[in-house]
Amino acid sequence: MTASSDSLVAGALDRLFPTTESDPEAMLARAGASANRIRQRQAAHVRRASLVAFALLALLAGAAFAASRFDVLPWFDRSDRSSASFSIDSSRRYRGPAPQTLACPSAGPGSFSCSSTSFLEKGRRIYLFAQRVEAPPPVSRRFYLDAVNRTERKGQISHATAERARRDIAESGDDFFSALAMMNVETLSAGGEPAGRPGYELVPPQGVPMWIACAAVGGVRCPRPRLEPERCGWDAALLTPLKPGLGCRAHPCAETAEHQRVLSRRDGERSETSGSPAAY
Amino acid sequence: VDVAVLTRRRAEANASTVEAVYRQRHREFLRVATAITGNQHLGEDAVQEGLVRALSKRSTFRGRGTVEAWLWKVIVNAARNLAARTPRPSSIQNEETASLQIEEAANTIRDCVAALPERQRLVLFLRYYGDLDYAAIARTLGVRVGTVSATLNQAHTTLRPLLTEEVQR
Repeated sequence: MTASSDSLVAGALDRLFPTTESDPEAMLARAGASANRIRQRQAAHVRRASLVAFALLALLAGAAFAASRFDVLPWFDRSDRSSASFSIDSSRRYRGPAPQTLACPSAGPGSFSCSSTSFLEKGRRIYLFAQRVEAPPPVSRRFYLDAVNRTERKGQISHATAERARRDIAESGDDFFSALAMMNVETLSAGGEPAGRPGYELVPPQGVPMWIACAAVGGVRCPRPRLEPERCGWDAALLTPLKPGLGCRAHPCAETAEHQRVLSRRDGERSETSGSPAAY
Repeated sequence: VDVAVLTRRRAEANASTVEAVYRQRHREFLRVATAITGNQHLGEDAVQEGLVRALSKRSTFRGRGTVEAWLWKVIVNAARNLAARTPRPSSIQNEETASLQIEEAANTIRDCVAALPERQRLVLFLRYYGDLDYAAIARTLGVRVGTVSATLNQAHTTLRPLLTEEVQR
């Protein structure tokens, strides 16, 4: 679009403010000098702001470092609120009284009481980290049903197999699952001697049946049974420490033919899906 | 520096570009700034203030138009701000209006122009003193091209009978 002009207006405006000459270089020199001063002031502002920001960061970093000394940050830094992380600060030592040994004469299933037999004299002592133990899975009827359903959904077993497993689980009594749970706990604690502590043995509380058997797998024979075979009706033994390549297969003692049938089927399915013997 | 290229394309507003545009158009910048402020000295101050702002805050140029359009906007804004801070002179302070007759005629024209709304005045100054087309005026004032055309027509319509009467007198 071309701009329109009015000669009358143009003439009048020319008379109002005629064109005047000016020196552009002098104007540019003055403006350039002023702009440089402004830029220097701005740079100084930026430097000051950077210093303040750095000081603030240093302060925050100091606070963070102080917090880390008290193991605060790891707790804040967890996205999964169902778990907690911790670390051992070897520079801290417990200085109060502590029992040397615990006696648990009435140990058995459920809760029981223990008493300390002696206290060490006051003094520094260091507690060594012995072992990290995973929480055992909640072995129950529900646990096995969910496992069967989950395995079926993944397509690792057929629907017919899953149905048969669900029927077997339904036919099994609660005592059978209690025995499975005990076997599971025993599997966890069956370390024999804790690492670095010769002469100590992890044993289950008195009165807890250890219906765990060992069978020969891959040409390796498990140790001699320690429980009376007649009590379980078949070969039984304490589960020995699992070593690489030993591959002991543990069975709960089946007191009834029905339990034995369930176990046999389950073992068969394990072999069918995994193709290798597994320790229970 | 090829000023023609720099003023037409979307160029980066570095110092040399701003200076090149100013060298090319310094008369128009000063004339428009003088008309807005009503005083040549104030006009020079406005141009210098605009130049300082353009040189020290080149990062505010977003590259949406030409450097010249951006410089026009900066200088016009500086002149408007200066005019708002400074009382309007009662008579033309231009040394060029030497004779009494010329001064009287200039004062009459000044009164006519001063009576116009600010947007009409600005469009007039940019069109006649700045020699800008509608698009450039629109970019400088941040309005539509159609608005510039309509505003200029309104200013012409208002001024023409007054100026005709002045010429006949």
